[in-house]
Amino acid sequence: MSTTPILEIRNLAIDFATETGTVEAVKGISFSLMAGETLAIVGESGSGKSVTGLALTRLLPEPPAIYRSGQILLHGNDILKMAPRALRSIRGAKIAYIFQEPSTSLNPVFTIRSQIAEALHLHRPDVQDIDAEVIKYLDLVGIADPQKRLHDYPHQLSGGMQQRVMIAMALSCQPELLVADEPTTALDVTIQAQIMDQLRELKKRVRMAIILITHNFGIISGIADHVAVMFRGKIVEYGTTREVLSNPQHPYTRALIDCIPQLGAKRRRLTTIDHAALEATSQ
Amino acid sequence: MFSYLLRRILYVPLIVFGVMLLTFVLSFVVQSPEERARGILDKKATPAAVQNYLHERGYDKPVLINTSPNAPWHDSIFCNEMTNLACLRLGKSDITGESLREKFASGACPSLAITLPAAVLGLFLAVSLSLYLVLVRYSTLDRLGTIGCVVLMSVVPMLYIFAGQSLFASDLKWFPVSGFDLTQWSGVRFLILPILIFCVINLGEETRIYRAVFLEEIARDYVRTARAKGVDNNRLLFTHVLKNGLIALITLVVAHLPLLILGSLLIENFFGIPGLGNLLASALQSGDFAVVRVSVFLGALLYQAGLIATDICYALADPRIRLGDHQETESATPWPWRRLALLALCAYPLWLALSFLAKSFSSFQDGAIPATIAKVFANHWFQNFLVLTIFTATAFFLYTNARNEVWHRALTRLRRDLIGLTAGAVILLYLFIGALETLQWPDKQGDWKSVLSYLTASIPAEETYSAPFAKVLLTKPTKLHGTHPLGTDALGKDVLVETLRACRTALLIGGLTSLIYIPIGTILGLASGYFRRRTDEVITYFYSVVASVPTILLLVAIISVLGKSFLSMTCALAFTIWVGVCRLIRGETMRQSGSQYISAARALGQTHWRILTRHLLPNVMHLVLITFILGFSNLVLFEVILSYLGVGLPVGTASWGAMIDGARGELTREPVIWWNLAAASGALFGLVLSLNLFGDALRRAFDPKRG
Repeated sequence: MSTTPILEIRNLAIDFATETGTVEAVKGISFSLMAGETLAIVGESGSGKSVTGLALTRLLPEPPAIYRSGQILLHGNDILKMAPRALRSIRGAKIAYIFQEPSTSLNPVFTIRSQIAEALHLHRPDVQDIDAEVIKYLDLVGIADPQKRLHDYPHQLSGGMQQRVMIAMALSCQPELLVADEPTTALDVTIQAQIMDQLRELKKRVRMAIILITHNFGIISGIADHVAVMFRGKIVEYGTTREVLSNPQHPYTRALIDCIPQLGAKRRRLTTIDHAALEATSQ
Repeated sequence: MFSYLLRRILYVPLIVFGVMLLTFVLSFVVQSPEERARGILDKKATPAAVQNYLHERGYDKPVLINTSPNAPWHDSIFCNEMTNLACLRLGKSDITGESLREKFASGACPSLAITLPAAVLGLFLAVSLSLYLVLVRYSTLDRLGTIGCVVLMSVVPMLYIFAGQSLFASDLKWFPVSGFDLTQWSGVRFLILPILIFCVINLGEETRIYRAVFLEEIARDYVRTARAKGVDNNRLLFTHVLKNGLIALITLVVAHLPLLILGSLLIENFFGIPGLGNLLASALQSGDFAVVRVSVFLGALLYQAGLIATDICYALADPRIRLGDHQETESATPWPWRRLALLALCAYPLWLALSFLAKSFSSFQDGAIPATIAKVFANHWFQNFLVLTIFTATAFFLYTNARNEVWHRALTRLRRDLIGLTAGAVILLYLFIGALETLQWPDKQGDWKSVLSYLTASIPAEETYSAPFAKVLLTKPTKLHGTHPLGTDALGKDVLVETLRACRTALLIGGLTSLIYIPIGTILGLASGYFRRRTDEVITYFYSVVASVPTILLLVAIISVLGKSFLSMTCALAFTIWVGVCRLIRGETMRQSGSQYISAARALGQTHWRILTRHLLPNVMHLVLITFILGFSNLVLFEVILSYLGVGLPVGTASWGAMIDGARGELTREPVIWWNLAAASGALFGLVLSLNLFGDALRRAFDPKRG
């Protein structure tokens, strides 16, 4: 791991303008990411983790999103101040995404080849043999017989395969950072394990940083180097995965870890999170 | 897919049979051939002449079955008519006796020469405009564009024609005023203006619908994926969204393409284009019902062809539907054998019942029942009571529903919607004027007069035309009795008063029709969506039959049979329009029935009645309200168009349609008499625009996706 961060976020605050007033989704968070490092952002629904992920390349629709303050520095350049053209050259090329629901995230009327080729065309125009390159990446993410799959439409693939295509598409431009926004939530448990294995495997083979956004503490061990726990738009705990998992400091983190059902443990009611009490302690 | 297509094609005869039955009932049962013959020949025609006329056309045969021993049983009007149409033998004109097949064949080409280029150009324009609006979505420009669309669709079509003709043809002389000639290339100049006007008439509505389709597409997840890839806005819109959107547009566009052959009634009539629209328009004027019947039949046939073409295009364009896959689309219909058998069993008793009803109706024609109904409707106390009841009921309805969570939120949103509120206020103003004309009171002589006539009693009548604020008559220097802010018409009536009085007509037509079609459509839609199976099959069949005849054709056919009156126009409109609300409510009910709260209600052992009234109805009620408001604006426009086509209200009723119709001749006078047209179309535009804007505001307020 290098010593200079590739991504640094300083005091980022994001609001949403709604009919009933402004909602502060992210309230001033800061963290940094080294090349090749994997950071897991963990939190419940509505804690601002996905918003943070999308904000990295300004993918949030504006309006309603408002970037109230802060900086997102990619190699020292502030993404929030970039022109649209510069922003587009970062999306996909430097920072790539995998989303939660693979079945809707792929365009239903284009073949998977043309969707991956589109990314290549945009960011790696020097690639001569596009088919070969697409096949290479489909192979990399573990799609059997990629040659035959090239001209398939998304609906002809299973959910796990679709997510693999999404990963292949993200990897095809050799990004420095992959943002995986709940990549396994929409998949069933066995496929979840496969996809997580795939990500773990890829992390070894391709040197890139990963931001893994999830609400599930269970899937981050073994892949994440650091963990940021988000609660109500703030990072309430940050540390190495081992530290956070073995010795959680914030009551919210403790509660989240308690929520994971364990094999072989005594049968008990799963813990729920008492928001009122937590709010009182975190003030 | 092939088996599905086959079933679709087999379903066509069933629908077309329904349409043929409908037109047959209209043309031979509701109004007997004798009556029509007397209308066509002359009031004083001898019975022998009428008999001769009927015999020539075969209309003197028994209606249903020939019981005379010398003729085969099937030698009746019904059997002959059905076999002729089924073999595409279109028969002869009722008046001139010309072959209709030749007439229709020669009219198709001129009609297509206008409608086909217009449809292609219109589609291109509407798609480009809506894509542009989506590109700048939610900006001020988008908002202005959307309002512009509503404005475009609120203008009565005749006004575009008037304006286009007088501006581009009469004043600027860029195009000839009217005419048609396809034998040489220079004839193209006759086509340009009608094509452009045809485009503009539909542009607003189409752009608005397409914008909604594209907006829905752009909110999808794959758009975010593409943006995350670094795709720029143009490529995003013109590749990703356009292709998905166009597939969605297929359902909206393709089904109507074959109908283009029938041409456009209004435009062909105005520009003197010898197409099928003109044929129909002149048939309406002369009372040639054979032409109307054949048009309805062809319309249904073409629409069914369009539906099948839609399915094929869908299968070709959407990779998710492959030939060989079994895919049920929205227009899916199950295998029709059972229905066919059911229909065959029911057809005969149904037929007997219908003919009996018609017989008894015709014997009452000048007698008891309609007269009694008419008397009740004409009773002024009854009218006063009706108006006040409707106002109270509306207030009560809004008050009780305002406690409902969804309605409460919608009301809060509506309160902040400035355009919606303004539109609502304008509608209230129209309602108020309409009520003034409807509420009546006896004067000192005991004559009933409306409140509006008391208020305007000080405005005297003149001899004939006078311009707004003029001091003398238009034609001679006779001094006027009073001041007329909008001038006077040919009979010297004050145009402003006339316009205000016509408010009542428009509102009554809209209101009474809604009173009939909204409950019917809602109840049938609820029943068909909730009970499914056989109930759904029967209701779907009925609305497929009605929907497969182009709206304006069906309206014209019904009114020309029932005769010009308030009641017949209301019935015709209600009968034609319930389909839309029924289909909408059916779909929504199906969606809601699948949700958990209905299962929960069922698991609790609640009765069907309770589930329908307590759970489903409140959850689709907002859709009913929105359809009611937007449908109202269509009804008002239809009244005007029908009056214009000569199948509107009885002569002498104050109506904007009649005023616009009258203005057609006045525009060519010198000096031009414009105030009549301006007042009527202005008032009409105001009402329709406010209804459309208010309906849109309601839709926005009830949109669950917002906020």
